[in-house]
Amino acid sequence: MTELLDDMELALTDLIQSGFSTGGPATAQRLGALSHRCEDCGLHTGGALLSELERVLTARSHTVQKNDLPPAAALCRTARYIQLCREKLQEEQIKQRWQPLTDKEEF
Amino acid sequence: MQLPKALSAALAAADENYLIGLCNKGTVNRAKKDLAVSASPETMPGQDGVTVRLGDISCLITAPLGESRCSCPSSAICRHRIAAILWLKGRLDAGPDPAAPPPRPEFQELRAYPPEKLAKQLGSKRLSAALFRHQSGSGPQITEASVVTVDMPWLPACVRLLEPLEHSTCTCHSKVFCPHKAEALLYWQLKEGVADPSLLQPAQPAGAALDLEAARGVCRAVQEALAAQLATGLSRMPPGVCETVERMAALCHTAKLPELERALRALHGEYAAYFGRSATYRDAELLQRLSTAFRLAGALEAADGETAPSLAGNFRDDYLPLGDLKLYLLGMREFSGRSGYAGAIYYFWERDARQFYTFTHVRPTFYEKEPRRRSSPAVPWGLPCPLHQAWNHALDLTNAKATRTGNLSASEQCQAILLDRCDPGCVYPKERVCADFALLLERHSAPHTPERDRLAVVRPQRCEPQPYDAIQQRFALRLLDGAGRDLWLEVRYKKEESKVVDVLEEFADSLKKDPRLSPVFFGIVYREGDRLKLYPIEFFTKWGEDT
Repeated sequence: MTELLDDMELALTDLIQSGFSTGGPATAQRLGALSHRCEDCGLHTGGALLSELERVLTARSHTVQKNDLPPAAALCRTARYIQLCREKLQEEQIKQRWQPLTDKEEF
Repeated sequence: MQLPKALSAALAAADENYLIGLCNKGTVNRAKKDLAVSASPETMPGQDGVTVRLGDISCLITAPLGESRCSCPSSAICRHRIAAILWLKGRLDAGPDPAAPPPRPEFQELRAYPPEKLAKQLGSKRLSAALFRHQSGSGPQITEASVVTVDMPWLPACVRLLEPLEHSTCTCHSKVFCPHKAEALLYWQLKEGVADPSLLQPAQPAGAALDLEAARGVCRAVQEALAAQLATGLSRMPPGVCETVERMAALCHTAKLPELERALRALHGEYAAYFGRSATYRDAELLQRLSTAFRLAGALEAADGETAPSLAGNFRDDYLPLGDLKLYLLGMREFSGRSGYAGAIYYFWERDARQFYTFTHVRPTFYEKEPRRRSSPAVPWGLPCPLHQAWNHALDLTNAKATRTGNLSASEQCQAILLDRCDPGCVYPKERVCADFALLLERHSAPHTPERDRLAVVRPQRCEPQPYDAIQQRFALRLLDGAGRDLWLEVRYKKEESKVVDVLEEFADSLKKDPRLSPVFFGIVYREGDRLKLYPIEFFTKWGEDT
């Protein structure tokens, strides 16, 4: 799960580095693939958000008068979703990390 | 003597407290003396009540007693009326047990008074302070007998609430329903559960009036500017984008949108770190800052008149009166945020209420092209020395004021007496020193928890110094509790943190030389990845050794 969240975050940070216009079809494909991975892991909201971002980026590339607001909104919503997922995971991960340490101590 | 029923009931219910509530204790005592020396008065029962003649003075005693009239020129309840009431009360055809105290009144009229009306009369600032006092348990002393006495020493005022409400008295001698009476009645209603604090809170107007149209325009412009930046991409963006973001922050300030202004200043700091090639810059951090600012602007644009003020936030929190505080300066940290503020935060432990308070000595730096070498030290509350020199000293602060988040005011009304220096172990309760890191995870580390609730004093069972991470530029110390759970003490190297890192490195060396050292750490707990972490504010190698 952490790996998937890292990949999602990396895709978004790559997008803010390159900008909406530069990524080309590869960016949309990458987002589509990540969306499928999210669905497979049970992150349905994450999958839907990435699909939406993929859709608006593809739609933007086929217009002359570019409207940057829909992809920006989709990107920011996805970034917030990743942040919330991380927060939810953190407590569990810390406890999991402590488990072998405490077992070892007891042993 | 036959008296009208209503008057008989009023006389039976009126004990000495009620009469004192109608006027004051002196007048009641004087009336008693007058009655003891005067001849038996003449009485004439009438339709309205009973006329009592005391020498040249004639009093008409009616129910309610506060509406009795007297031939003397006094507009307030005079000693003649009290003497007449006492005389009538003495001659009242008493029930089975005349010595028994009158039944405790129900205070129906006090209960029926609408709390919203009180909130309106008090105004947002006073209401806010009253609710804070009620919630923090530092409210007035309320005694209930035949009258409700509410003593508010911080005003100072003592209000006697009685029925009918218009006959209530206040030490300010106001004949109308003064703000003191309104505040006293609100405290009583809150105590009795008649008024619901959660319903009163939203009734307060949040800050200065927000021009929604102008705010929406600014929010739209912010969204469009951020979307354009995202479309361009960071790799092609000119450094001038920092100024664009700063200008947008200034626009938000003018449009009274402090939260959005803060979000944009934080974003400006992140952009500045990127263009300044700072080692602490992270793409993920920039993504989160962009996301926060964009989403907040979107939410504000879509908000209506009711939700917009809470989303817009406050420029400055109100300071609420707390009375006297017994403080102990546990530590301080230098602060220089990317949001454009720098200074020092001092952390106090309150010895009675057992909670942390902070004092922030911060100045804005976003318009300073070159950083100042050093800001002047904080010397608040009439202290004889700068605050940092009072480290590990106890302080008694009078007339203290603090925000809801526990940040103390430097107001001139607050005065501090500096007491002796003492060991923190003598002041900080033993049971609050955390040796079980599972409790830290559960109680002090939840995301978005205010910093005050994430402060903790930690005593690890052992410490494992880690090699300095030269790539991440990070000092780390692994702290372990009795069950082997670890807590990571970490400080990222920054110019402002260089001294902190130096001191911690020295301490890590001394730990290697003497592993029996049992230090205590005071810091801010947070989560990062799969680790529980502590930002150190202070560490103590001697804790509780003076006890």
